[in-house]
Amino acid sequence: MSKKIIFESSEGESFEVDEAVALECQTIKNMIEDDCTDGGIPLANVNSATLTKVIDYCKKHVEAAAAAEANAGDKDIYGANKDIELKTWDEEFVKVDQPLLFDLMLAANFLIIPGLLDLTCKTMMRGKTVLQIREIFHIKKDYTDAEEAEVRKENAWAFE
Amino acid sequence: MEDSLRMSSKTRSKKEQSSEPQSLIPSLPEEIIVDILARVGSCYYPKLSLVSKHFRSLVTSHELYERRSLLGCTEHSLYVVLCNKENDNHYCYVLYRKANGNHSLVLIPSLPKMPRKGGFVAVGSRIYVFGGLNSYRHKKIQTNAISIDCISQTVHLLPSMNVTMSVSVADIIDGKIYVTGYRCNMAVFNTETQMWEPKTIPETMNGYMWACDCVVMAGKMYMRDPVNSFVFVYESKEIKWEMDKMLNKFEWKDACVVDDVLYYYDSGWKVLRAYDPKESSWVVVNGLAELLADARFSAWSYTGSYGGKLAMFYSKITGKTKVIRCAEISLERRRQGKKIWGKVEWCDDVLVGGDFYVNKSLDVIV
Repeated sequence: MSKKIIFESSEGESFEVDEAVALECQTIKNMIEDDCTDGGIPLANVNSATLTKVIDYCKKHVEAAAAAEANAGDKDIYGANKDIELKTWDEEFVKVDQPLLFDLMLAANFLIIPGLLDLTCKTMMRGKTVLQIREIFHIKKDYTDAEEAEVRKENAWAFE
Repeated sequence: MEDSLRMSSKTRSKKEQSSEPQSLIPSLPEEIIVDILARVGSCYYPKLSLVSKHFRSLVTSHELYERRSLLGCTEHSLYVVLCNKENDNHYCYVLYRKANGNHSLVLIPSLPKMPRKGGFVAVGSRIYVFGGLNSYRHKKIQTNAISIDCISQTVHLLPSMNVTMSVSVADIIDGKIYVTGYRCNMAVFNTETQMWEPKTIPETMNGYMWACDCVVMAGKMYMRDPVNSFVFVYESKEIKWEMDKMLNKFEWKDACVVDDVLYYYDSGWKVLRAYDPKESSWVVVNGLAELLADARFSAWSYTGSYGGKLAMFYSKITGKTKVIRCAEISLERRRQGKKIWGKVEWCDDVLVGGDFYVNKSLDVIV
């Protein structure tokens, strides 16, 4: 009954998903509305490993939304539990290595999946040292040691 | 490129502490960087400002703030004007949540000394400061007005007030700030045009001295005068003064408003009181026995609104050290709003050492 949408990863691999799952991506939603999804959607800048994860994420969130809607009539304490469950799932979902996390973020940005973009951005920074952040973003330190010490002093409270 | 990314992940798993680059994307478009920073939350900004000069300027930029607003990622931030009892100096602090989850009041070094008295109003990402006395000895009345941009943490001068008065209170209705003081008219500052309205509003209530506290609830301004203990209601759309006898039942001070309900800590009865103008009724907030017992012997206390919740400040002495303790209280209305329950979300020592008290707290959005 449900319409299928075909994604094609950068390696040329095909992924068939329910339309409802694809609709989680704003970019795809626009394409579906404009009726230009026939013959699959090539995603030249998303590789298979990333796409698999992205689809997992969208599936889970579609299911969660459907479950929440089904339970909307008898809203009770379990509604809150469902939220916690999804949050836990999200947390597990982003326990991946840094490059994949980065790819996920770029994919979420490109496909416009606000929830996933938010999740990956936050995870990217959480618990990272300044050095690690420089590595992630390929930023060369442009502070002199004295300057860095000054900025560190200014924000000393945050590093206690 | 994907192959090389996979490779780099392999290297990483082999030697976890490797200092090799973990991603091979040479540089991200500025837009994506702003997007990431907008989403990560401001508690990371001190750390991010250490990454590079560019990041440091980004975290205090209006560009980032606009993106945060667009994404709905803005946060409430509590600015607190603290008075140092030793020298009577007032400085601006901000309540920060540290990486370990504890909260702390941190001095904002880029901001100047705040006036001793004066009207403080938070509007969006700005704080307006009107009048005040500049020093304890020379009680010279100030007519100047400033605004503090809480994004860049800088001060901007505003046109001076068009009346000379010792400002005591100010609050905002529909984008206009109403400033009043001792035996004086009310000056009106338009936050859109950043100008004073040409006409002041005459004070017409008989026997009225000066407002020692004022709040705005549902578009109406309520003031209390210390001698007569009257309450005035000033409605901006139609200028009239009236009395709210029920609100006048208690000598509320340092009051704040959450969801059009007034809250203040009654230090005599050691309770947190709430007044709902719709019901014209006072209630005592339930569920805070433990907190209020802890605050019992505090020399002072202060409650301010903070993102739909309450922040209650009080002092404690541990050993020989004085600390400022702060509790964030979420509020829940039960029994069709007839009962209000408070729940302490957290309670931390936010400033350790020195001898300070809270003069004013301001809930800004950054």
